[in-house]
Amino acid sequence: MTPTLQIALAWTATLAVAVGVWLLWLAWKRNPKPRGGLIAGGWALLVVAAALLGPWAGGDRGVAISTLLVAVAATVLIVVSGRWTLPHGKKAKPIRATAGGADPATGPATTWPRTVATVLLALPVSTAAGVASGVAMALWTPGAPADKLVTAAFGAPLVLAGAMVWTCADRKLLRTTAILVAFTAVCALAVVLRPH
Amino acid sequence: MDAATPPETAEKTEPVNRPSIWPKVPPAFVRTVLSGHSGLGLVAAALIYIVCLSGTVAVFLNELKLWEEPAAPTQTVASPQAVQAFAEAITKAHPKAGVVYMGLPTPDMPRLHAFVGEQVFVADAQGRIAGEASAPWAHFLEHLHIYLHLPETIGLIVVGLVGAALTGLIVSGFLAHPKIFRDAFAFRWAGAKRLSQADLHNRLSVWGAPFHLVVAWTGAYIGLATLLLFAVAGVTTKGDIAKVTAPIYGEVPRADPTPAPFPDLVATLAWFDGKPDLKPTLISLTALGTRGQLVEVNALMPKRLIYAERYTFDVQGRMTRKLGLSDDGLGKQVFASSYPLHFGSFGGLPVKIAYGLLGAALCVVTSSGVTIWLTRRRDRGRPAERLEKAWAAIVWGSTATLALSAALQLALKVPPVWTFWAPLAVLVAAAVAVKDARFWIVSLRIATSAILAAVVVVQAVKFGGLAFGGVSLGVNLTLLALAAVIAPWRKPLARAAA
Repeated sequence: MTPTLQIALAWTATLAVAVGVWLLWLAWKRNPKPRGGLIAGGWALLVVAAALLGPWAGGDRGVAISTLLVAVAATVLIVVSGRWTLPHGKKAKPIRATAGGADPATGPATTWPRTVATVLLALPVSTAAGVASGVAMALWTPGAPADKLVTAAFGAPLVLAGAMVWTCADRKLLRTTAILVAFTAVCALAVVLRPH
Repeated sequence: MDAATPPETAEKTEPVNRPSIWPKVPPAFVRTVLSGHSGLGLVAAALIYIVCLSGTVAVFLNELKLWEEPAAPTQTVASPQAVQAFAEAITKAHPKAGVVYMGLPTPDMPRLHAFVGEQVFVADAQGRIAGEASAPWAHFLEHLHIYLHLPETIGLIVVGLVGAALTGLIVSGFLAHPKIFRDAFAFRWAGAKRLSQADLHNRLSVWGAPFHLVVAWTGAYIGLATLLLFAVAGVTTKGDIAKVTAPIYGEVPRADPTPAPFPDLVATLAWFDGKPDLKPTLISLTALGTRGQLVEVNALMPKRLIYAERYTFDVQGRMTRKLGLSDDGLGKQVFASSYPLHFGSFGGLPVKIAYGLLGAALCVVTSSGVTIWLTRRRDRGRPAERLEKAWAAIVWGSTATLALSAALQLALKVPPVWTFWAPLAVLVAAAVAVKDARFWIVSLRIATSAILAAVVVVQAVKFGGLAFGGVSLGVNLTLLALAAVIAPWRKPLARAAA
């Protein structure tokens, strides 16, 4: 493929991102009618854009650049189409938004001792669980040694992140503690019983 | 940090009986996850904000280094002979350096330079050492983002924990807001405060989510990898970390201090001639002049997300080994792609600008998340006034003291670590003690704006004409634009109470 054609495809991809985001904006911002076509069309254009960027930017790099383009285009559209001044009279077009929203449940940190316990659970205890799971993943994940390490290095932060959110949400501190300690113990056992 | 749309202020124009493709999420689950989202956000908000702020600025680290040291020589291409001469000169000047990293000129760092410990030396076109260009403020910024100025291993782990918390917040934010996509474009700044902040928080979160998740997750991975490696090495290799990382970084050769000829870097670089898909950008030189010496070259692959492919060369400049970051299994490729994805270094200035904008959005999301929580408390008659003031001081005080640290480093060479953290601590303490949150927001926005303009003046006075050309001009104009945007020009809207 010639460089000129690659650049032409990249510009087409940029246009596809702009139109795709605009279709989604039309579907979600004001249109109160069924709008499956607009939503499907918008997403389809965004996927096509990622593919069109490939020859110029490379496969994985093209997807990353295309995702960035979508994020920036949508953010710009939000800023441009946002309601920045107070609406007056009939001129104010309605902005469609889902009514209502949940209030958070009461969390575990209702008193100072419980707050300290929650922080301890969210930080050292969750970190221990995350690291233990990472070591277990590094030893038990199938594949090449590099794949094992990278799976563990990316998997452990996810376990830690989940544990952090959960410990800050669950009111039953004993349950959280017991499950995290049990999880860490199971991971430790998996390490002891590792394949040789 | 509840970002839910307040029920009493949402506009009810939703059509009735419209089928939804989204699965129903039990309200109790949403409320519980929202509780975790709020709690974790409050615990980690200040550190997340400072890491995000410094990371957003650090996207432009190379540009800032050029701006901070504009007088150092630049070159778009370095001849192999100059590289050879520079390597020999650096080794002669620093015989005990151990490892020297030589950066070849690239579009965003057009210098032939060498890292020796914490020092950076720059070469002229002939490869002679032209001087030091260590850019201490840029170095400070880098350490703020990566270590929070804590001892390095501890700092890396703390920042990794911050990344994990941010990852948890992003995922839980989506779980806690099942309708977030349907409202993906509804932005009503001119509404009740909680509504406007909720819209700001949710809208920037939705569209920036892929970027936010990638930087948070890779940040957590980079930070916590050290801890994990210690643990894995403790279990499997009696603490030998090099042995654990060998599948990714390759085997470390045994040290052999027996004298040996200096490697032929001209021949090494000649190996890349006629290979347009490999652009050498970094040469790593270990134990030069000994039989245990190691010459490794990182070559950028312009159409790949990976930071580089790495090649090892012998003393005559013959390629002996390819590490395989580009094609040896998915794990290595994911590993090598994570750094460009985190630092935004895979697409030149346009990608950096996008990272800057979305990084700023992440700072706003962090700030608005806490503000929503504070506003809900106020709306319910339980205002947390001290916390409101402290948060205002952290958000706008950190921008002001970041700019202050740059101004004082450039003007008087005051160590920026002190001029960032000490005034920030004083500001938070003062804010808690006196006045109200609005006073601190307005005052600190004015201060940030004024100090940013002062930074430009200081740089222009210090470097004269160099401040008005090339990268320096771009950075200075950006700083002035930021100063204009941050200044509180508009009178605050008279908002209805939620």
